[in-house]
Amino acid sequence: MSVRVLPRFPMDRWADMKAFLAAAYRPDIALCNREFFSWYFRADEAHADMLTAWDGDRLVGSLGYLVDSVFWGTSGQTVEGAWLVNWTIDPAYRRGVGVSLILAATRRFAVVFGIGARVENLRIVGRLGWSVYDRIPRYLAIFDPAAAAALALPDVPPSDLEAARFREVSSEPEVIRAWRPDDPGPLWERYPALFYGTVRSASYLRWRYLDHPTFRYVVVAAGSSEEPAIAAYRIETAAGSDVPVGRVIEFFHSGSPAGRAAGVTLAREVACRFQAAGCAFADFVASSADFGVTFERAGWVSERGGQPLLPSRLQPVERTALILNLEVGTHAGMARPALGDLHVTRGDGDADRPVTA
Amino acid sequence: MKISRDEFQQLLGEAFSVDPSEILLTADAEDFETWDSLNHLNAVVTLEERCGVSFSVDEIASMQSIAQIVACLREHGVDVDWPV
Repeated sequence: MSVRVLPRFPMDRWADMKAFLAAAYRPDIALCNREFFSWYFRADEAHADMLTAWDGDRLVGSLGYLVDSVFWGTSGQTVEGAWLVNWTIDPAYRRGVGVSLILAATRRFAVVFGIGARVENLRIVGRLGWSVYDRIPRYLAIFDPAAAAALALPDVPPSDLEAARFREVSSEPEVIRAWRPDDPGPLWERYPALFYGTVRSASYLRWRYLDHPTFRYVVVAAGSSEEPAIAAYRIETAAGSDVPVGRVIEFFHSGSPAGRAAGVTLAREVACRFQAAGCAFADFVASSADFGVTFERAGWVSERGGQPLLPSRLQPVERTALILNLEVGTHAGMARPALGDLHVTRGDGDADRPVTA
Repeated sequence: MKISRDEFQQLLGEAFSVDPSEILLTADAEDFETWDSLNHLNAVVTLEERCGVSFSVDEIASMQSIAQIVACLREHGVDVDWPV
């Protein structure tokens, strides 16, 4: 066996990729849709951002990477980072191919991230010396405890749902405005909570949210143009029901008092929009301790570790306790921040992606 | 860089969690239940650190037998004291 690893996937082999993914997952998975695949892996006509392994003419492994500029300790400079997704290996090639792909990514990018790894993959990235964070915090706002109860995980008492009821009322709805890609860029040095994580530039926000081929996100801002608070959210209906659920996928604000105030207002007003839209509940998954405080000040409730109340996946509704872990690998000598100093949301990686497309 | 057969067998025995005497030139991945992804990585990292080499990703993906591992080391100028 002689396996060759290509740094980018040649799109003229799309038929092989589609068959490979269909066999590994299911034929109607979103990645089997060429338009979605091309958007996700930033394909041009020739190549997509995916490492692929080939045994002769046979596709035997793939590892997608979402390349972004990343702040790593300062807003003064960026490094090239990548979110690694869809690590998929032909079962007959499990031993060396998967390892070669992950090593190729680790060597290439200064910072690599993974989210929601399974136990066997955690052992591998642990051996590579990555930092493994067991759980990314999740924040809830429950608007209709009775409706939420229909989706709740087994054995969750109604009193727990009632305790997470959102009780704030809209007071400044006019402060929210639609965010536009040509808005002035934030002054990143005023956003210390973003100093470890993907640069949320206009081009990133446009690609990730406004240009999404399947989901319809709403991107909103509050506060001054130099240091706006920004959020991206969407509303989805839980499969098999008519229950809408709000999902905040992106959120950040500056560290100044005015920026924090704008953040609290934005988190509260977005929740009020969900409530007005009839959502049973809403959630936000974020590693940043700073933004967690903001959400709690805005009336959201932190879901206690190990005891999720409500499902994270709604297509279909998964009534098991899904706890998102986070893995971060860096080149030697780079800082290893605490989880709360990182800014990671479900918008990073593949944690907010359609199942089918 | 030179590495003796005994040391080579010892290192790979530890990496694959098998007795060093099972590390034979005729052995391949199918012979070890313990040759999984994690232990494959263990073997790669162990040999890279011990021998001061960096295998290419193609080499790492293609290492499916003890003989191939020995051949890769020799490609990197490591003298494995074990006649093939």
